Amino acid sequence: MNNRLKVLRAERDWSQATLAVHLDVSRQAVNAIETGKHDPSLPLAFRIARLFDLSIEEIFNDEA
Amino acid sequence: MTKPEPKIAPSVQKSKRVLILALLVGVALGIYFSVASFADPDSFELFDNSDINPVVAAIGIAVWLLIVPPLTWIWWRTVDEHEKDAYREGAMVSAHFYLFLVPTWWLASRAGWVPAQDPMIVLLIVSIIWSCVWLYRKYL
Repeated sequence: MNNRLKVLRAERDWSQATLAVHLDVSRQAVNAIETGKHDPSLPLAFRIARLFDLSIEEIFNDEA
Repeated sequence: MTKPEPKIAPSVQKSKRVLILALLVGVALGIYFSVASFADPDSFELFDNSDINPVVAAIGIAVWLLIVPPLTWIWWRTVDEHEKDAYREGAMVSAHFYLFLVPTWWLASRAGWVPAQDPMIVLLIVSIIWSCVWLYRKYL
């Protein structure tokens, strides 16, 4: 699944570790989501969306 | 003055602490078995199948059944979903490896091609595969 997490993180000048703290996950989890190796669960997707004040669809895209 | 931001998430910190505690229990158990074996040369080594002192066995079983399961459960409750997925995948791969290894070894042993099956060697192999897949999926 494609996502804009890396871009959104960069806009705030956050490291993966900083974002991980905000989401209460490991830095490896953030990296896996950014690189598309891990699709977040719905609860985590909602946490990400709330953190950036966007909808899930504005961050994640299931089109190839 | 603002409070400094933590470098890792609180749940990750907790899961690391539990994992380190579990490793320390494992190391302590290994040292205990080694010392017990050294104190009684007729006793056993870690993966030996010879008879052992019932007290040593009782202590080993108690630690394995009373301390390790709660630690594992607490760790499982604290890890994030990415690590849970990695751990599950390790479990799935190692369970399938077990499924193919045990009957193959059993049949090969009955045919006289290999020594008899040793459950502790099987456990060691399955645990190593589980850990390798888990760490690979977590870090790579």
